[in-house]
Amino acid sequence: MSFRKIFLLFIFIISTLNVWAQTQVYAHVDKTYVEVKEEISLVINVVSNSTNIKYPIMPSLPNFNIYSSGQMRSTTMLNGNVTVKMQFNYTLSPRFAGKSTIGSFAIEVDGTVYKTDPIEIEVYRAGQGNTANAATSNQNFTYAGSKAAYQNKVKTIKNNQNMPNNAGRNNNTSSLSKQVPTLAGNKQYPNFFMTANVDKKEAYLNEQINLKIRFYHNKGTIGSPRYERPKTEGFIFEDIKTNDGVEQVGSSTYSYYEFEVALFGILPGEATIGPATVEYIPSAGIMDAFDTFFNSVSKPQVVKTKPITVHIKPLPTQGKSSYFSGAVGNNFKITAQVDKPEAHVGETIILTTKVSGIGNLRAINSLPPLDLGPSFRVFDSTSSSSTKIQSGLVGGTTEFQTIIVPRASGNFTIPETILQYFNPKTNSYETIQSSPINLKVLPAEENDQDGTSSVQDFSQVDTAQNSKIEKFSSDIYYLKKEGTSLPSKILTSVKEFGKYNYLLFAVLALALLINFISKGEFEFLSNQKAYLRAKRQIANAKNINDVAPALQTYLSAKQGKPLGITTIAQSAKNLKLSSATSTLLNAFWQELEMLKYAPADTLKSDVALKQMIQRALNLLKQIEKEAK
Amino acid sequence: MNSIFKRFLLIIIVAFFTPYLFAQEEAQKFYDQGDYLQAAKIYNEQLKDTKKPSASLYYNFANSCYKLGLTPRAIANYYRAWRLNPRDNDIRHNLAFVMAQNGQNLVPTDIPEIAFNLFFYLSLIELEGLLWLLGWLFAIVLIFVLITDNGKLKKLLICLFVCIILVATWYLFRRPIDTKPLAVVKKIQAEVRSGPGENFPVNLSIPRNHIVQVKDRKDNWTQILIPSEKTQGWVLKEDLEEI
Repeated sequence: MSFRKIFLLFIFIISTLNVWAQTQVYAHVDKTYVEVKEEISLVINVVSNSTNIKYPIMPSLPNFNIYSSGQMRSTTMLNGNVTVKMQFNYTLSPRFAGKSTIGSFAIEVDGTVYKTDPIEIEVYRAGQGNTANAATSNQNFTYAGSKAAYQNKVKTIKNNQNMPNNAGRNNNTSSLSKQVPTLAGNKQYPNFFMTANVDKKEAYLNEQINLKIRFYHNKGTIGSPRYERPKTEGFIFEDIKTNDGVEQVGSSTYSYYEFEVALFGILPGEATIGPATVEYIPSAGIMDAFDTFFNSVSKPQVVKTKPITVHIKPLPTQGKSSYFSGAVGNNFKITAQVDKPEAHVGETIILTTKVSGIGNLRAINSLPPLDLGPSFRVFDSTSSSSTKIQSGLVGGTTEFQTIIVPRASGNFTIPETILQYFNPKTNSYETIQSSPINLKVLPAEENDQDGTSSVQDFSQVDTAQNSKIEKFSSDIYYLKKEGTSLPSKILTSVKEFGKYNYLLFAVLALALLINFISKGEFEFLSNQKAYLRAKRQIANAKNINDVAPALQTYLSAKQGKPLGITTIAQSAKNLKLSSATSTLLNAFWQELEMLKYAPADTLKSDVALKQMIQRALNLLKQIEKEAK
Repeated sequence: MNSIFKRFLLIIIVAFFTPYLFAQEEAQKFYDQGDYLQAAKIYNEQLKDTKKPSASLYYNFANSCYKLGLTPRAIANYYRAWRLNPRDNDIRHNLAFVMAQNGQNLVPTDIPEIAFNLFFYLSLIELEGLLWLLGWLFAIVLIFVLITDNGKLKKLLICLFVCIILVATWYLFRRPIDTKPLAVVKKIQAEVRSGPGENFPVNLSIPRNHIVQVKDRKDNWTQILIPSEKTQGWVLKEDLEEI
């Protein structure tokens, strides 16, 4: 057996081993002894010759806050065999002291579910950590920079998710032939070339754009061609699949490797997908490669795709509400459930809210704040995502877990969670909401001896706080009995009189009228009244001496002056009486004065009395006519 | 004969009020059992049958609606109850509670709570009743003053006059506020358009349970005023629960 044959056999064995390589899934943490709120790096590694690796499904981790720190993927091609290494990074922060277990992560690779081994973590209260134990922690697999890169991406999305917008959409699919490079002076395609296609050249922020990159070759290569991703600034990406096949291009048959990636624009404006490159060493055949190995090595060659510019449109402002989550896609759904519908005061309840749909779920990095009032303590949500790729569309589920601890017993309702997302298909915002959840909280259990677990430790702290009197008013007050206060009844009754109340104005008017009249405010009425009164008094006089006071009162009233201030002559002058009437008045008055001293029989004589009354009445009438 | 008449009157009164009181107790029983739907149905029937519903009836109906998750209807009925009896602690608490859940305040932040409570101490009906009552007292005292010319009564008359002026001023400030037509948004995100029709563009959207002022109505559309946004627009009538 020649050396050449031995070497070929060696190559064959290595290749076969590579084909038979089994899928390996394993998890590491950087430390197993930590203090509360210290961070643990968890790395899930998957090595497989299948490209169909799905995202890990996380176990329930109520004792940890968990954040995804990104992922790494490397693809190696060797003689047509692809080996994929996937690394999923997580950062965990323990919530409570005590022993906790990181359960098994399940990863589906090519239809088979693989599970990692559970990892036990001992958590100490801050300041009580055993530094000696920390030294026994596992290997450190933290990939510096990857978490920061992921956080930067998320931050960028968050900062831009509410940008204003207007625009249409354009699904511009380029055909393969258009992407094949045109070589000047050469109608045939080269032996090695690359193409890059996008399914649309215009998309909304966070809307999925599918990019397909193909490396075509109709000649062999020495070793594995090295693929380098295009630079995608202004995008976040998600691997969809890798593929290989054979295609007739022009007059030749080419083999190709295909890399399909989903891109999500995170900044409005023009964004460029840089060139993807493949570095390879061309070879005419396998025997030539053997020769090359021993004789001369060809120089590495590089092929590139052309950069592609995509227009990223901002989201419209019309219809956008405060519930907008930043997500863009369709068929989003939201569900919420609690791990137990009945709990005791101080017991933890895990509220799990799942948002699923087709689109970039990473954009939903938080839920609207949950306000359950003072009857509950609500802790920050932790979120985890699992991505599902179906028919080239990225989707999946983001799960938020919120720990709530009731502080008072009773029946409560966790209100619905409302989210809004943008649907580029309908070009509008759509709102989804979960159903409200009824919770029954029973009074705190006494003598809870089993305080070993971290969760129960926590509840004990809460119960200790409840030893003080606390006021809870997180619910509406109870029903009311019918009945109103007496003052209210009186006031309402008065109002109920309705139009009869307007009689008040009539009464007031009447009172004022009487007042005006009695105070002589209406002169003509007052004068008329004085005349009538004097006339009545004179006509009813029993004695001649009764005539003078009546006449004097009348004259005073006519002048508007008190009785006895003016003489008869002055009165006549004041009232502007004619000289004849004045003379008559003076004469009559003197006669009355003299009659004061006349014998009583004269004064009571009917004839004399009647005469005097008649004269007085005539005089009164005359004065009334002339007086001004 | 007289006793027969009294008995007849008693029977009439009992026959008139018993169904009302019985229904109240029945509704309360359902409410206590957590069957808020039945309780709400009974209260709703009573509201339809009663010419002048009491604040308590509105309040109890609102409580049932709230428990059923019909928050816009609950807010509308708490508001009605509050307008009838603004100094009732239960009504005020529940209205403020439900409004606060939706980011709104019953007491405006720029007004001291004590001033707000004093201003809304009496309902508009009570305020009007007080005004009439003072008017009647004034008239009576005035007549006595005119008859007797009593000095003490004159002082009382002046006091009453000052009171009437104050209460009338209070009433004049309160009336526009209490008679302002309001509505609660029923839809999760009600779209506010620039005109009464689908052909007009959507200017903004308002969240559910938000209280807005009703300005005008046209066909199936209601023109609303949103003082906080200093804007107005048209919303589908079915998206609002008018107070």
